[in-house]
Amino acid sequence: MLRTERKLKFLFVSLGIIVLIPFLFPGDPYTQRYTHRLQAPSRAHLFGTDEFGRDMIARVFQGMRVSLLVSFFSCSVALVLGSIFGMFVLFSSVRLQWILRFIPTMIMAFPPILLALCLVSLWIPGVLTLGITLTIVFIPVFIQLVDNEGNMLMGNTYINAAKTFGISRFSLVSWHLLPALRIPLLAQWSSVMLIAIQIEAALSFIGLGVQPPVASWGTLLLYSRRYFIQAPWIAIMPAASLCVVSLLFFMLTRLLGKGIRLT
Amino acid sequence: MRRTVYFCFSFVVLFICLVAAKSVDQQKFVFAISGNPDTLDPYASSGILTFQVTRSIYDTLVEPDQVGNILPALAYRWEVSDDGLSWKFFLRDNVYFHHGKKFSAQDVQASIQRILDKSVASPNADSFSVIKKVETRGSLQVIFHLKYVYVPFLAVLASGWAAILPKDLIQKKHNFATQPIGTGPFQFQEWIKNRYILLQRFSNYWGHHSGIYELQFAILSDPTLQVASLLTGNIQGIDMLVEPEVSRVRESQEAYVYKSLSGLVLVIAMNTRVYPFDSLLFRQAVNAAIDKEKVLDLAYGGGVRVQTFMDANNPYSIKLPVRQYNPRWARTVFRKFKLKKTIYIKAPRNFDSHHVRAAQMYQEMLRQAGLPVKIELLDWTRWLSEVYRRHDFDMTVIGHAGKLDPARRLLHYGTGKSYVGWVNKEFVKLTHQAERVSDIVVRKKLYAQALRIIGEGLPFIYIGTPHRYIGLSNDIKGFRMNSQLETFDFRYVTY
Repeated sequence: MLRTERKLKFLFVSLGIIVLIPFLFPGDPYTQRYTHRLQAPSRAHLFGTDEFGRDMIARVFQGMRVSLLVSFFSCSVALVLGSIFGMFVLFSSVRLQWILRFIPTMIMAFPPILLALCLVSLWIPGVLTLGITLTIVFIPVFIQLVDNEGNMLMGNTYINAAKTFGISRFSLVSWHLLPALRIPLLAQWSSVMLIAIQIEAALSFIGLGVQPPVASWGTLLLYSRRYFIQAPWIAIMPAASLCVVSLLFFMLTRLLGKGIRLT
Repeated sequence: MRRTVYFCFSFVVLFICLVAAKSVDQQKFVFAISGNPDTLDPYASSGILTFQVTRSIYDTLVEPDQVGNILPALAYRWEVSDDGLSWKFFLRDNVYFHHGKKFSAQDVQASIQRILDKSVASPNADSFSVIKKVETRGSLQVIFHLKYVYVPFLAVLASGWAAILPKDLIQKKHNFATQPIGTGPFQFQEWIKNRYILLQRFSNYWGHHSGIYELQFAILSDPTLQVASLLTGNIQGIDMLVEPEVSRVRESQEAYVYKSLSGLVLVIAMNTRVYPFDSLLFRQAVNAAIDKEKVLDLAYGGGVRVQTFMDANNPYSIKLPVRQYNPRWARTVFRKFKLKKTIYIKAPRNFDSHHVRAAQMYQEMLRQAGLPVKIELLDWTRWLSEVYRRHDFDMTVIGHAGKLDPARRLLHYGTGKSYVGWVNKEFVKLTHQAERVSDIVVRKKLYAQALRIIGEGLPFIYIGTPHRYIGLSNDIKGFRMNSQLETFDFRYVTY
C-alpha cells in the first residue's frame, strides 16, 4: 500500500511538472520566420523549426496545452454530468431504470473513436466541437460506473442504517455514496483522459479536430509527415511528448486501479 | 507421347495467357487527383476537377491544343457568315457514343438546348445565351445563328462545358452526373467516391487511340501518399506537386517532373457584399498586408506574379504597377475599422499541400498587420456550395483556372452576380464591347482597360500564376496538358 502511494505521489508530481511546463513557458507558436525554415534543433530553437520557420518548442507546448485542456475539460464535465445522471438512474423506479440504463449501453456499443468521428462531422471543426464531442462520448462511461458501483454500495449495512435513520437522498449521495465512489471515479477519469488525448490527436490528424494554425498533437503530426525525411524533428518532438503523457496517464490509471483493489 | 504434347500445349497457352494478362495490366494508367469532382455532368459544374476527368469522356465540336490554338474535333471544318452571325459546322461521320449510338447534328442541337435548360441550372449557360437558334442540315451539318456578333464563340465551343451528349439519353433524362456517356477516347466504368474513377479505352473512338487500356483517376489528397505511391509504382502520375514533393520526385530514379506554367490565377477572393470587404480601402489594406512573392514561392512552389485577374501566360495579360507589401500602412487602416466580428478564411481542405499552406501564411501576415482572422477548412464540394454558390464567406483561398478567351474568365464580374459580388458598370461595358470586336488590337486595348479596373478594384488579392509540376512515372511518354483549361490529354500517352 505504501509503495503504491509513493508511486502515485511520484506520478502526480511528474504529470504535474510535464503538464505545467507548457503553461509556464508559452513561447510564440505563430510567428513565421521564413529565413529560419526547417532548422534542426539548436540553442536558439531547442526543438528546431517547421516549414514556416515557427519555433517547434512553442508549437509542441501549445499542442500539449490545447490537447490537455480539451481532454481535461471534456473528461471533467463528462465526470460531473455522468455522476449526476448515474445517481438519477440509481434512484429511479425499476421500469425507468431499465430504459435509462439502455441509453448509455447503446451509446457505448459504438467504439469511442467511431462515435466521436460521427459527432464531430456534424459541426464545424474546432476546439469547442471537439470538447463537446468528447464530453458526449464519455458521459455514458461515468453513468454506468456510478450506477453499477452505487448499486453494489446500496446493499451495504451502513447505507441501510443511514436509510433507516431517515437520511435524505441528497445527504446519502453527498455523505456516503460519492466519498465511496471517489477512487473508482478518479481511476475512470484517468483512463478516459488517456483515451480522450488519443481521440483528440486522431481527429486533429484527419483534419476534423483543431484547425490550423492552432497546434495540437494531431495537427503537428499531420503537417509534419511531409517533412519526415527532410526534417524528422518536426514529427519526433510532438510524437515523443504524446507518448510520454499517454504513458504517464496509463500508469496513473493502473496504480489507481491497484488502489481500488487494495481498499 | 500424346500426353507430353498436350502438356506442352497447355503450358504454352498458360504462358501466353499470363503474358497477355501482364501486358493488359501494364496498360493501366493510374493518375492521382486531389479530390472528387463534384459531378461528371459537364453542364452542371465550374469545378476544375470535373473537367479534368470529363475531358477524357466527352468531346467538343472543336478543341484546344496545348498552347490554346483551336483545332477541329467532332467538327472537321467550319464557316462563318460575312456578318459574323451564322457559324456552320461540318461534322465527322462514323463517330459513336459509348452506348453505341451514332453521333449526329441532332445531338449537338439537343446538347445546346440542355445547357440552356433552366432546370439543369448550368453555371456556364450564360456563355451560350448568345445563340438565337441551332439549325441542323441533315445529320452532319449544324448552323448556329447568333443574336449578335460574339468573337469568343469558337472558344466557348472548345471548352469542357460545351461537351456533346447523346440526344436519346438527354430525352430520357439520363443521369450524366454519375453515369457519363460521350464520344470521348475513354468510356466510363465506375466511380467509387473518395477512392477512384475508372475509365476504359473506347474502341470506336474517332481520333487517336490512346496507348493505355484503363485510365484510373485515384483520389488521393495526401501529397506524401501520392509520392510514395508514385515511387513504388502503384500510381503512374500525380496531377500537382509542390515542395518538398517536387524535390523528392526529381531526386528519384523511378519518376520525373513535367513542368509547365499553369493557366491559374491564384487569388484571395473577398466577399465584397459583406462588411468590411465592401470597402475598397479595407481591401487595399488586406492587399498591402500580404507578401505575395513569399506566398507564391513557399506555398505554391514559385511562379510569375500578376497584378490583375489574368494568368501570366495569357496574351491578353497586362502589367500594372506593383502594389508594395506594406503591413504598417495596413495596420493603420485596420485600426480605423475597429472590427468586432471574426473574419474567416475558408480554404478547400483537399488542396492540402498548397491552398491550406497559403491560408496559414495569409493568416499570420494579417495577424502581424493587426487583423486577426481564423481559418476554416472545407471539403471541395462544401466549398463549392458554400463559397461559390451561396456566397457565404468573408475571404477564401483559391486558384481560377484559365480560359481560352478572356471573355469567359471575366464573365459575370462587375455585375454583382459573381461569387465575390463586386460591381463596376464601366468594367461590364468594356467586357461587353470586347466580346463583339474581332479586331485583335482593339480587343486587347478594351481588355487592358477592363483588367486595369478589376486590378485596381481588388475584389481579389492577386498572387500569381504558379508553375504546375506533374509527377510521372519514367515509363510514361506522350503526356499532354492544356494549360489554359488545366485539363489533361491522355490520348497520346504510351508506355
